[in-house]
Amino acid sequence: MTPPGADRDRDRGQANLLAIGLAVLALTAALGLGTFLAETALDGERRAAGERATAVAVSGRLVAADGPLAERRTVLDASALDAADAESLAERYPALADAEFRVTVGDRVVAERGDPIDGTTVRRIVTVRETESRTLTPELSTDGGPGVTLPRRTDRVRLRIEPPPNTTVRTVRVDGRVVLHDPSGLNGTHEVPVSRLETLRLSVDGEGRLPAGSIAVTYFPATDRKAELEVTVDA
Amino acid sequence: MRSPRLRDDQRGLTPVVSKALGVSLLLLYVGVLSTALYGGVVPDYRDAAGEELGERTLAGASLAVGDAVPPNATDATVERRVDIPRTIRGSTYEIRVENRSLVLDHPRFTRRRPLTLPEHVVSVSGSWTSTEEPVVRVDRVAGGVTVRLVAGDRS
Repeated sequence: MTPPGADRDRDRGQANLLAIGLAVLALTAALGLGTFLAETALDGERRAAGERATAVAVSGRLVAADGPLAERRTVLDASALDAADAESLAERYPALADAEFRVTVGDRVVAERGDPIDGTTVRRIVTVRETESRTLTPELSTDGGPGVTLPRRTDRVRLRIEPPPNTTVRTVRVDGRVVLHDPSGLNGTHEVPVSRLETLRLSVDGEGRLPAGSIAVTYFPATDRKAELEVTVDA
Repeated sequence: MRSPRLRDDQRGLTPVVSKALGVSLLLLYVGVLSTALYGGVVPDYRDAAGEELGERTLAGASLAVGDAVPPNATDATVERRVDIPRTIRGSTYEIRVENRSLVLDHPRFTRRRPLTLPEHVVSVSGSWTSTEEPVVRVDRVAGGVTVRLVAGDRS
């Protein structure tokens, strides 16, 4: 039989080693946890500085005055939106070349390539201008007369002048100013730039009778609405 | 069963042996750990963080270059300072223009990013080294503007 004292001594030696083992284990666990946290933090930070920069730059170019969709600065042209497609955008902006992206205005998808599901999105407020064309065939008389008032404002007027034989249209006036004049008679289609900022009254001068339909006036009223331009890039 | 004398001798040595054992175990542990950390984990993370920083620097620089260009109608010379870190992962680097792209040239990695510029930019050229003050210079020429990356005064 071993005396009780010797037994206790042996227990003490093992307890020491056990404590060291536990300490080492705790240290290793802490280190492992730290590495794991660092890894997740780095993964989280790996989000796409490049993606964001591309989205910001491209959306900025799109709303600039010389952008492919823009009519003026921050004003987009609705018909250009219809015509836009992803390939031409990617060609114009090489930063988009290898990326999946989507450009939307309001609810409408303007251009889309791939499915940029977890991409970075940049939004800008824009105005969308929709220009339609309307044609009037007013009753005009060649002695000046009261003329015709265009019901909406426009930045240009297209006139198709087809007077019957024996009738000559010499002068077209907009708000009293001469915009077209030909002493030997006007004929055919003419486009006249006018002020967008005032209501226009159109009158003609000449000789002879003008039956209805001899002069067709086409004008281009614009409707503006606010929308949000959204560019999503997933590189 | 051993003689009582021998047992007494062994008991005298026990504390020394146990402490030496403990100390050597811990030294071994610390040694293995340091080797693992500084031989692999830490440099890996420094590389990863450096590349990430490089990417951001390049993204920021390309945005700054694009922003420096005024609209076409403006007849102006623009000089704009750009903020980039002096070193990435402990070494200096270079940012230069290649074929309308911005290239970040670091001893450990290279990154490239196409610039998104207005149409009226005729040419882009120049380079920055990270030890100098980076400046974007936009000059008016016939038919548009030129963009150059030049070194300004570090002040």
